[in-house]
Amino acid sequence: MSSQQLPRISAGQFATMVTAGYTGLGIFYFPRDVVSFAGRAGIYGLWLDGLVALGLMRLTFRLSRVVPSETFSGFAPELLSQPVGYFFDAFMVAYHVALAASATVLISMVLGNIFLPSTPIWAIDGCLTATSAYMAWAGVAGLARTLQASYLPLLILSTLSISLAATSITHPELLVPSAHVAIVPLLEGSYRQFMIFLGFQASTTLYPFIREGDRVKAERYSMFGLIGIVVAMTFQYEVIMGVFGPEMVSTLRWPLASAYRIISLSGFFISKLGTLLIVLWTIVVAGFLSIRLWCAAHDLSSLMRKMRPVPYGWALGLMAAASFGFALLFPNAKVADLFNERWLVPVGLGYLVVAPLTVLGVASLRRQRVLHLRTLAERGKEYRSP
Amino acid sequence: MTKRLTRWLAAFLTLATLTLTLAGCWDDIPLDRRTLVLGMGFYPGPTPDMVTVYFSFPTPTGLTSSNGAGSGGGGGGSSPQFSSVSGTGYSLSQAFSQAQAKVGRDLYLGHTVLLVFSTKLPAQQFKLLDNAIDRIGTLDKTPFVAATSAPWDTVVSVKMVQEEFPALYYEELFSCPRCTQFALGTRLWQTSTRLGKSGVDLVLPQLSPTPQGPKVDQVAVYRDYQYVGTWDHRQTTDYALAAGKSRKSSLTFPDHWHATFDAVADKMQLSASARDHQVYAVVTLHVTQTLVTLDTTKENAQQLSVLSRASSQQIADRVLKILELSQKQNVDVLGVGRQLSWTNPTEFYRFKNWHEEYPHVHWTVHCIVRINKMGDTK
Amino acid sequence: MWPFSRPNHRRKTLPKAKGTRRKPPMTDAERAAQQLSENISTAEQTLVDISPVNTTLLTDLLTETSTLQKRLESLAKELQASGSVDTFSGSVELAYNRLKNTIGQSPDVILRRFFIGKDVQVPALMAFVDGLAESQIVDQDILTLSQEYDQAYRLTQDLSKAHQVVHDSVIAPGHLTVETSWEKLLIKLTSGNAIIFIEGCPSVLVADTVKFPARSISTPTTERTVLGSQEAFNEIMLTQMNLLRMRLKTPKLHFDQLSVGTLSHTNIAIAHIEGLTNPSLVSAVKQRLSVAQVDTVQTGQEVMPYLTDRSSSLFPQIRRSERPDVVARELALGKAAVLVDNSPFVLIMPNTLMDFYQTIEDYVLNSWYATLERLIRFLGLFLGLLLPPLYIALTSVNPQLLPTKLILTIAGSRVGLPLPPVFEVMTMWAIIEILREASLRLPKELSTTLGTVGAIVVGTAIVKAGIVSPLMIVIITLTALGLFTSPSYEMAVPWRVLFWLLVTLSYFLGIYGIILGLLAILAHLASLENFGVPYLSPFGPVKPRDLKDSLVRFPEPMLTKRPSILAPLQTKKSSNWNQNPDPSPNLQKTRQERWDD
Repeated sequence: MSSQQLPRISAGQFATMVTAGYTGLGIFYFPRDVVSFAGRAGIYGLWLDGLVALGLMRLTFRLSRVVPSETFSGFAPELLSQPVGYFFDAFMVAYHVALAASATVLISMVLGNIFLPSTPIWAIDGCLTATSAYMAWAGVAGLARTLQASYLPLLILSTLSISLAATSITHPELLVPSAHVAIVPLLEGSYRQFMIFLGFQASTTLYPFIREGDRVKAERYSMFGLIGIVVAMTFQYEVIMGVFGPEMVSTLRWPLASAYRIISLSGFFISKLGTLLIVLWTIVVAGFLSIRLWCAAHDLSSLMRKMRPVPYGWALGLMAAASFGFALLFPNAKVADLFNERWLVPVGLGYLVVAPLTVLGVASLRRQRVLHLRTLAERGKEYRSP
Repeated sequence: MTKRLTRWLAAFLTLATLTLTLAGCWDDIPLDRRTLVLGMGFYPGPTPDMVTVYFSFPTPTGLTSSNGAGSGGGGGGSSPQFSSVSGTGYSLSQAFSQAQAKVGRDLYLGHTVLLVFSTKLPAQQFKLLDNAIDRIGTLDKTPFVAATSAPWDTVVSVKMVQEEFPALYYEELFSCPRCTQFALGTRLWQTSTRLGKSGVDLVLPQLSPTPQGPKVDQVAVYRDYQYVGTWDHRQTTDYALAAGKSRKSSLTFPDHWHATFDAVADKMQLSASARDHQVYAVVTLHVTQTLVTLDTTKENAQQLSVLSRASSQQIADRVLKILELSQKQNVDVLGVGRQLSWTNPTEFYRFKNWHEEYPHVHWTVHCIVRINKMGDTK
Repeated sequence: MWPFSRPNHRRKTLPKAKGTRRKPPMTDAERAAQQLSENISTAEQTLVDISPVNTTLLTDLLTETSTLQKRLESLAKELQASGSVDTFSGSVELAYNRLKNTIGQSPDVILRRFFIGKDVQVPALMAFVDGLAESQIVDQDILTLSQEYDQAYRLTQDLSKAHQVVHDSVIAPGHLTVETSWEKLLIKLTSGNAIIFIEGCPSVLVADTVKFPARSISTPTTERTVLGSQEAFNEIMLTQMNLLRMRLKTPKLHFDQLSVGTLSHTNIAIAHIEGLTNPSLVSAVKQRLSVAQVDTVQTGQEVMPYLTDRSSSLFPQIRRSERPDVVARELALGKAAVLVDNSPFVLIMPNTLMDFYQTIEDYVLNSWYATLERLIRFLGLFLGLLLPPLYIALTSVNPQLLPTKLILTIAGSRVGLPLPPVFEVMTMWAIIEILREASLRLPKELSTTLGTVGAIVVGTAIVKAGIVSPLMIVIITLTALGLFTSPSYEMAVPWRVLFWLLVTLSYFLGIYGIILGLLAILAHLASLENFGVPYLSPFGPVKPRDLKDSLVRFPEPMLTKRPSILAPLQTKKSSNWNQNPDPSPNLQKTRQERWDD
């Protein structure tokens, strides 16, 4: 396929995909970690996370701008030398799969607990993975459209539900964050909570697919998306705090699920609207998963390009199977929780700092090479893309 | 070549998924194979570390008579409208399994609307039960929680004024705060925010079945998980005023023109502060009143001002009295400690045990009265 | 690649065009030889098949052989005379023999020999298909005038130009063309034209005598409207063109004609507005139709796979309409339409999912009405698609979501029922589908009775018999009605199939299954593209401008632009909407006078 036929996405679609690429994982735990460490000052932890994420996102975009018409996994081996580049590629594939598996386990455990107590977890996992793989099958443009079309109704329903939960706020004084801030616990809490923002590195794979001329706009939109997410999270934080109070929040396993589960409507066909919304969050997780699978499949193709080209469909199937298999290894929600805390957060944060800095450093040294790579990509070098 | 292989793979996967899914029925249990538990009662078991759990559910007769025909069937029919099974064990799950063995259908807890705890339940059992209930996935956080000193059979077989299942009756009662004298309904999640949390204690409405029908006009107070006592109707009225949960109380002033008021106290602000190891709590109540009777034909401005001062005084006195009683019993019903922990955590955490501190809290009660309706004048 | 691209795989899967016109031209000798060898091989095959004693077969063989001989003779003579098998030699006798031995054996083909001129007589031959050709034209405008022509000597002056004289001065039909190739002549003949051979003239006159056995323009039956136009297309392409032309009088309205079908030679016209419709769309439609290799095109359905990007998809991508106003409206928006002869339905492309939920009624009445109608259509779709799966999910898998009182009512209505909800749904759905199919096939008078009686009797009886609950009857009725709120008939089909997917998923996974199913459907819809136009637009990709005419319809003054997704050459559709008209002085005066009233 020549680069002319590369599917293109608009700036809005890019921002939607990048935004859908995080929040899928940490959303159910939020704001337990910040609150249990920082108490009523937890909101500062969220804002700090948001700021850090914004900075790292800018850095990631800088990385993509080095060779804008090629994915990071595509140009890493050429720019950073083959061993380092392939290491990064392999790391990205593995990390996407790990994130996908962790998110699958999380939603399956929540659903398995609340909705489908007798259904085996593998079935819940498997159906979700299969659906996500099908969503990713359509390729980047199809996936972007699916996400765009499915997020609007979800947004309306979530707003409605969180507003309904807000009517149960019994302690309005809790809405004002405390002035007593203990720095070390706050930092620790926000470090753990950073899980919400893990995953926007999908942008390095998505970047070359943005329509020419839309890239600056796409970056800006993604930043707005991040700010929007932080604002939405702030609302959610306030509602959960105002309803439960800090002591209770730190004991809840899934604060968001609990917040939704206090909603009870009378005089409507569905009385437990909040409980229904928990299932609707499947859409968010499926979006998150499909982006992970798409990126992983794409990066896998880049990784294997030299050795043996893998068609997109096969790579996608392989990645879905890997994610599903990995998810099966988690026996319960607690193990997944520990895995996120001990591995996903530190490794992900480390990667988000190390990769852009390495690339930007090397790029400033090997200017000729960068120029060569840019022109090479523009001349219609092949992408093994959907 | 690849295309064909992909197709085969897709076909294989579809077939495999189909086979696997068809192999089990998982969660698909039709309603007629479920026993819809509407109320659960938790009572002490034969030994102190055991618990007896009652599950109350409508019988098929009850279901069909509730459907369509409504009250046409009549309450005193030959077969009962609802039934209960019980199970005893060291934990909720043991009791549940035992009860499950007594019914042929799946005991389904997703529609439980009422959880009743016996006042005789030991604190340790209560704690374990609270934890266990929190872990039931199908049970959400919205059922109402109540206490009772009566045995389960009398709680559920109480004569109903309206033709209804007892659990549903209580649910309706609690979920309509304006329909009752006090808005005492406490949902499970509200219970969880108080149970076992430092600086606040649990207050539950107490169900007392009487020959005339069910009565909910008392509250049971707890210290942590320990039942402390029951406040009678008068005390409950005062508590409701103090907590801003009074909906239909009436105040009379025989000395002032025989005036009577309907009072609604729906807002309470609590603030707590600490100075020199002394905790000061300020309770501000907002009460709106409707003038119901007066022995003069028309009210005048001076009368109203006297009456509003008098009622403010009366309410404040009553509230102070009930708060002092709570200090005597050492139950922090308003959550002064919790308030302090939010506004001044360093001071709060300086107290090792809040229950040692609570009896010494210094109260200030403000009562802001607004007489907003004069009633119908002649 | 955008817009109106063709995905790669299409090129691979499509067979290379190999029509006779596309092959390198054969020499005539080769052609003759081929014909000969074919005939001989047919004869050989016949010889192999016959048993040595069967005399009937032998007789048949002899007849066949003599026919073959005659054909070969006439071909050989033709070849001798004109040097080509396909070109008319100029000999009426030869033409007569050739026609007589081939198509002339059919009783509806009339071969009429006559002379042009009263005094000087030039032999001529006319061929036409009885019934397809207008006999009045044939008799009065061709035969009579030819035979009474008194200056026939002008023909003999230059026989090779004789057709010109006949064309200019003798016969009267309005539409006359000249043709020399036999292959084309025969197709013209079977289309209803009269062909006239003149002795010595190598050019053959083709007179348009086509008489269409046409249905009158009737009211549309599939897309009814209360206040709109009541005209529908009929089967004749020419009428279709006329009806469109009446609505779009611009000279820019073009009909590009081509013929598809190796047997049917169906005329197909691609309608578009030049300077408005994106030219890449028009050329893509033309290109896709020109490579179509089918033997017959009867309904228009045959060419659909060539026009759709993913013909295997459940969802219709080409919209069919029998309303000229709909087609004219869509053309004016920047779409292309394909008119197929003999089919009263015009194909419109490209389409989005939303297009299938729009009717002309939405534009006949104001935007409030249109918005309400559209929302109701989607409510119908959601009820139809989701009610039974939700019933299964909420009564069997996730009963905790329903209010307690409702669940008690449902439980009460289900006491003593033998079947689980999923089988209740299956039973009732099967009954409804059978009733629907039966009432569709039966004559109109019977079907209404059967439908009503069947539904009522079966519904009541099955509840009385205790097989399904009364609630199920309500649900399934709503479902059956809901799915048919879609204005286009073909749109109900995919949902009726996907309904089963959702029922199955809800049976196993409850609400979770339904959500996964809906996500998969959404992903499929999002992956569809038709001539480069995303099917799910304007929702995915989000097109704010097009959203104004989607689930809701904004008032006309706000719809000033054509859909952006069609990439038309002219974006603006209307302007200077006079929202606050400045009253004319006279009107103002009248108004002022009335203020006191």
